[in-house]
Amino acid sequence: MLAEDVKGMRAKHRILAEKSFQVVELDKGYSNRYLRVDLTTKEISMHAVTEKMKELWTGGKGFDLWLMLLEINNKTKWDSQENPICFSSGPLGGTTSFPGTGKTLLTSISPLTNIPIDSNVGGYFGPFLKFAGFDALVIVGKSEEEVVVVLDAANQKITIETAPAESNDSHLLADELTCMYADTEIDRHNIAVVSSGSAAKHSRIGMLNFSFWDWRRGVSRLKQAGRGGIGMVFCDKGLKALVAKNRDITPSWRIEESKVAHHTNPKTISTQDCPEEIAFIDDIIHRWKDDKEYVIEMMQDIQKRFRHISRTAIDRINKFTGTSKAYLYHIATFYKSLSLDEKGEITIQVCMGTACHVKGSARIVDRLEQVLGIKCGETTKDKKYSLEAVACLGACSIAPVIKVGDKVLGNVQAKDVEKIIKDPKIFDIARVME
Amino acid sequence: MINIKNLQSIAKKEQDKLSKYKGMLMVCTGTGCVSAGGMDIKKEFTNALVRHKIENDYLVVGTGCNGFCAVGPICVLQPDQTFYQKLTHKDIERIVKNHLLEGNVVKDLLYKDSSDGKLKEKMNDIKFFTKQMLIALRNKGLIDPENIYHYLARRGYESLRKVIIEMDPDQVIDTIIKSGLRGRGGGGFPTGIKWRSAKKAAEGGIVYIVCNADEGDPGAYMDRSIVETDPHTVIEGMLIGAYAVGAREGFIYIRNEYPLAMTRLEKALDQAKEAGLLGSNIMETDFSFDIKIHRGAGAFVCGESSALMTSMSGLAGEPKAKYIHTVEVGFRDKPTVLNNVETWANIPVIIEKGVDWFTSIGTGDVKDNPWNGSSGTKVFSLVGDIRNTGLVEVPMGISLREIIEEIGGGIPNGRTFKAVQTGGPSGGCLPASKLDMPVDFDSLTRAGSMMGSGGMIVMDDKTCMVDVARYFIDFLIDESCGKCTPCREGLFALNQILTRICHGEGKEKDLEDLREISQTITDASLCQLGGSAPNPVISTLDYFTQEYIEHIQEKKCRSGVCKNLIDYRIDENNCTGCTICFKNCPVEAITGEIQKVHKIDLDKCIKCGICFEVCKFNAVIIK
Repeated sequence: MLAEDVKGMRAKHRILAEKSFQVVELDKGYSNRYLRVDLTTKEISMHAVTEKMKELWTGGKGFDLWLMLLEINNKTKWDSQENPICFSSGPLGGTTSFPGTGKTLLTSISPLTNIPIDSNVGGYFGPFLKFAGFDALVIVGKSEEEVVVVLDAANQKITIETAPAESNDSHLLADELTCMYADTEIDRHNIAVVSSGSAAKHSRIGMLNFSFWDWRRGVSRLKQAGRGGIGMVFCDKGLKALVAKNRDITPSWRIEESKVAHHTNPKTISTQDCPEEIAFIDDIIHRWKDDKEYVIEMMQDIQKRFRHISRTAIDRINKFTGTSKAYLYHIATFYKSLSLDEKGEITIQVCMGTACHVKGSARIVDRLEQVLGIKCGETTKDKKYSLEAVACLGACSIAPVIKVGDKVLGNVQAKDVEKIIKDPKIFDIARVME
Repeated sequence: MINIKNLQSIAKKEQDKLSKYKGMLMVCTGTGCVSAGGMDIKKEFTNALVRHKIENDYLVVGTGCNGFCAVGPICVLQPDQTFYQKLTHKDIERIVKNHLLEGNVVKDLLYKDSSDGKLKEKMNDIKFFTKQMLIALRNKGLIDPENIYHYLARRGYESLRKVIIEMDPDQVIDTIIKSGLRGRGGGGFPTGIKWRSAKKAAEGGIVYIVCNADEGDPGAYMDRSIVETDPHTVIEGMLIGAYAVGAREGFIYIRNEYPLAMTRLEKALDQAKEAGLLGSNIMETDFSFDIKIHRGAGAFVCGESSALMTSMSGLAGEPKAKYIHTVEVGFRDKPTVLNNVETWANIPVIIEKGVDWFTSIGTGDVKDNPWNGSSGTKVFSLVGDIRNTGLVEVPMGISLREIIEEIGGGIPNGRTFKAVQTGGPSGGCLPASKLDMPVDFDSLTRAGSMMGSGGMIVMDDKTCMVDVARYFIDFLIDESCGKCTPCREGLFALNQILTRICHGEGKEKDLEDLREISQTITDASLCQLGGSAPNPVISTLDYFTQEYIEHIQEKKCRSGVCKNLIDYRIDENNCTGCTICFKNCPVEAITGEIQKVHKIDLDKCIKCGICFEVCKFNAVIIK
C-alpha cells in the first residue's frame, strides 16, 4: 500500500459529525457505558451501563439483545431505520486469559428471517472498542451518503466521515483504511476495520469482515461474522466501514524489539530455472538417497550452495522424498540455519551467548547494524553481508565473539566493528586482534 | 585391521614411536586458540624445526582444546610440561632456538600468576590446572585428535576390548549403574538405569544409541571441546554402550555451528571404520555397530530428547509429551539410548579403572542407588567476568568458591563478584552467599539452579540482573519451538514485563505477575526446557529482589546496563582531553579539543557505549 495513494483518498473525506470523548480505564471488565451512533441524524451519544444490565444480561450476547430490545418495536423489519446492529464482547472480552475472549458478539434483525440473529467473530474491533472504554456499540439509522465511522481512542474522538474514493471490497478496503489511519508502519497493529464488501449489497447472506493487522505478513487479515446476513444490514445503513484505532497499549518498541516480527514474505520466495542448478539440487537429494529422514541435511546442503532454499528446491525435495511441501516450508522456517530469503555472500554472526552478552555483545550488534545499515536478520541490498545474532558459537572464553564467514574473531569491541567491515583484509585475524 | 589380539601390540608400537622423540610441541588448535592464530603457530613451529634441522627430534602436534583459552594461543612442550602462552608468530623462533636448541626457557612467554606475581614454568604449577581432575578430558593436550594411533597409544579402545572379551552385556550395565554415573547433559539421570530400561523395552529387538552433541546452552562449550580434543573416546563410549544394550546402529547429533568438531568427528569415524573398530565384525568378533552423523540445523530445542529424535527423523524438532519415554519409544519408534558427549566420554574410563575408583570421586554413596549422590567429575566452561576463562574438569562436590577464586583466579579489573550463572537458560543465578555450596546435581537444584550441561558464567558488579533475566527469556522466546502455549505465550508475557522494567516503566505489581506467570510455565509446559525456562527469572527474583525494586521504584540501574535508565557523562576530574572518545563516537555527540575536558551532548548520544569502552582514564561515567 503506497502512502501517497492513501493520502489522496483521505483528502476526499468530508467530516459529517465529530465528538470527543475520554478513554476510561476498565473496572472488573466494564467501562460502564456504551456508544450509540445514529446514522440518520449523525448523532453520537454515550449511555450508562446499569448494574441491572450487568446482572441480568451478562456477556456480549446478553448486552446486545438488551440494547436491541431498547431500539426495536413489534413492526421492525431488517431494513427499518431503527433496526440496530449491536456489538459487544462481554466483560472478559479482550483479555488473554481464556480461549475465545477476543471474540465479539453481534446481533441484528436478519434479512433472511426477519427475526433476531446473533453472530460471533474474531478480529480486533471488539477488544479495541472495549479498550476505548465502551462495553457495547449500537448503530441505528441510515445514512444517505456512504460513510465510515472512525472510533479513534488515540486522539479520543469519534467521527462520521464520507469515504468516496476507497475500494468496496473488504480485502482491499481493510488494507487501505488500516494504512490511512495508522500514524506509522508499526502503528498499523492498532487499527481494526469492519466492512462488508460489494457482495453484501446484493445478497441476503452478506457477511461482515473484521480485520486485524498481521505484522508478520504485513497485511491485514479478515475474520468473518457470517451468520444471518448482518453484512446486508450494514450496507443498507449506508455504512462503508467502521474503523477502531487503539491507544498504543503495546508500546511500539515491543514489536520492534521482538524478533518474532522477523518474517519472510511469501511473495519473495524465489524460483530457480537454470537446469544446471536444478541438476545440482537433484544431485544433493540423491546423495542422501532420497531418504525422508535426511531432508534437513539436504536442505542444509542446498542452503550452503545457494545461500537460500528456493521454491524449486522445495518442489524437488517433495518430488523425491514425498515429504509434503507445507511441511518442508515448516522445516525451512523452523531451523535457524535455513532461510527462504537469499543470504549475503558473507554472513556475520554475532554470538549472543551468555558470556558474550555479559561482555557487551549487544553493543556490537548495535554498531554492526549502524555500519551495515541493516537490522539483525537482514541482508544488505548488494547481497554482500548478512547479519545474524546467534545463540552460542561455543567460544565463550574469548567473548565477545563474532564469526565472519568461517572465521571466528574473539575479544571484539564495538569500536573494532567498522575496521572489521571496511578493512578488505578482514581475514587477517592478527590485525583485528591488535 | 585391529583385532582383540593385536590391539595391545599396536598400541605399544605407537608408544615406542612417540617416545623416540626428544619432545613434543603440543600446540592447541581448539576454536579459541585458532581464532587467535593457533593454526599459524603450528605451521610456524613446523617450519622453524625444519630450518634448524631438528624436525626428526621434535614432533609438532595440533591438539584439541587445552582448556586455558584465556591465554591462547598455547603451546605445551611435553614431556617436561613447559607452558608457553599468548604466542605470536615471532615468538616461535625464540622458543625453538633458545629452548629446544640451547635449553633455556623463554621467560617472557611464561604464565604469570597475578595472585603471587610469580612466573609459572610448568603447566602443573598453574593453579588453573592443579585443582582439576581429568576423566572426560584425560587426553586433552596430549594427543592429536585427528590421529587414531595417538589415541591407541594412550590405551585407547582398551576398554572396548575388555568388555568384549571379559564381560557380558549385563555386567557392563551393572558396572555403569554401580559407578553412579549420571547424565552429564543436564538432567542427571543415571546412565546405567537408562541403558537397562532401553534393553528391557527392546526385548532383544532393535535399539538405537544416540550421542547428543547438540550443545545449545549459551555459555557452554564442553561437548564441542571433548569432540575436538578426543573424538575417539566418544566413539569408544558409544561402542561399549552398544555392546551393553545390543544396538547395531548409532547416531551422533551434532550442532551445525561447530564445523571443526564435525570435521574431526567425521575423520575419527572414518579412521575407526578403517581400523575395523566400527562397522561389521568389530575387532574381528561377531559384534557389529555403526555410527552416522546427523547435523543439527540450529534449534536449541533439539537438545531435548524427543525433539532431537523428531529432528533426526527429518521433521521439525518439536518435543512430544513424555508419558512414554524415548528410552522405550524413541527414534523410529524404537527404544533409544540418548546420552550426552561427556557421559559417553566417561564410559571407557569407568570400565578401565573400575567402579571403586570412580565412586571414590565425588559426593554421596552411590553404589546401591545412583540417585544418592554425584560421582566422578564434571567439565565446566568457566567464562564471563573471570580472569582465567576456559574449560575445567573438577571432581563433584568441589565448592563454587574453589572453582571461581582458585581455578578461575577471581574477578579481574578490580571488580567484585555478583553472581554465577549455571545450567544455561534453564539454570539460575547464584549470589555470593551460595559460593561455599558444593557443586553436585542435587545441591545446585536445591539452590534454585541446576547442573545443566556445565556452563558457568561469572558476572561482576557491572552486570544487571534484571537484564540477565531478560536476556535468557529473550533467548528462550527465540528458541521456543512454539508447540505448547504456556512456553510460547508465557515467555512472551515475561519478556514484556522484564523489558518494561528495564525501560524504567515497571510497576509494583510486576514482581507478583512475574512469579505467577513463571509458576504457570513451570507447571504446564510440555517439555523440560519449557518447564525450567522461568528459572533465570525466579532465581534472580529470589536473590536480587532489591535490584528489581530499584528499577521499578527509583528508575535506576545500579550496574549501568539498562540503556533507558542511564546517561553517559564525562567526569571532568578524570578527563585528560586525549580525544579518543571524540574520535570514536559514531554520531559526533562528543565535543572537545586536545588537552581540554570533553563533553557529551546528551541529545545526540545514542548510548552505544563506545566512549565508555575506549576511555583509558575511567573518565566516561554512567549516571
